[in-house]
Amino acid sequence: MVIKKIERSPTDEVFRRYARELIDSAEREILVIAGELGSYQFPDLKWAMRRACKRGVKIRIYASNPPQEVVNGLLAYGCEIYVGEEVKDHYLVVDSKSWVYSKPHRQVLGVREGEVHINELTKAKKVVALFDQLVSKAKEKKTRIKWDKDPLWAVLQNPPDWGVETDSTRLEELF
Amino acid sequence: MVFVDTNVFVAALNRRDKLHERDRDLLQKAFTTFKWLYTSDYIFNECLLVAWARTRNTTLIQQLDKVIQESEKIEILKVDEPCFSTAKSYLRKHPKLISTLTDWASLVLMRDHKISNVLSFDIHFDKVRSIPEFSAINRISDASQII
Repeated sequence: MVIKKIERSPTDEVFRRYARELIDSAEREILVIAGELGSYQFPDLKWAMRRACKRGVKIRIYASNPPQEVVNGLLAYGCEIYVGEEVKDHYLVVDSKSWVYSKPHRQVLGVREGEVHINELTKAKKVVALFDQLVSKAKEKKTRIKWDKDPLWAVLQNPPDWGVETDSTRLEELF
Repeated sequence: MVFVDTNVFVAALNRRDKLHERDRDLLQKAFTTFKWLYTSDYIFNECLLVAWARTRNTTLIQQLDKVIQESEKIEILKVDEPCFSTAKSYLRKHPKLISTLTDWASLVLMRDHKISNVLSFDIHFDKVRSIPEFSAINRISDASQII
């Protein structure tokens, strides 16, 4: 059993490193208890989750307020998403034995802190039980993927005006 | 499966680009046709670089960053050591065919991920078909080419 402290770091890189390592170690199942799934906005964690999906790891997520564009991607990758009441303490549990605990924090960069518990089965079971309890009262997101909520689709409906002309056939001249 | 080049993102995302209307249709059609739109971290960087070089507008950079990075439709493939090394080798071997590392990296990523379609206005992607391992490359520059 190993317990590591996650200290604050300017871009949450310590949190991200531990979370990524844990996600990459998953063989069977990943459970997430979160709020707005803000961590999923970090590309390295998003990619780690996608890698896990691709190698057949079952991913189940409980979140209080997940943005639709994030839900789209998770549903497209076959994740289960449950939406329920807000919970302060956030967890990521891997294979019912190791987990990351993220203390309550504001939605700003550089404030994430918590703990990583590796191979701590007894406590991990308690977090899994908490997940099951939350899910039992939550609503599963089974809706069709709403691609019209995707940021790329949205911007294609109303593209920005850069204020200058560009010639996309001659971009190399810019470099 | 389809890979998206820098010029397609730029043309679609700047309403003052010369090919904007045509390219917007192209990217919209690709969005609704393909499950994922693949691109690379190099392409992502080029898009932001072009926008910054032309505008010096930090708000625009943040907007483009959000659009490309947070779109769940876009899958950003990463250039790792073997890909970089292979792309450099091709660049040294065929400098007259394609003279940018980004394009070679795109081709190597496409080859490795079995992606044959590329959305691009760059005709060099047609010329590269003379190399056997890239003979299947199919450049798409108009929405009508997407079935």
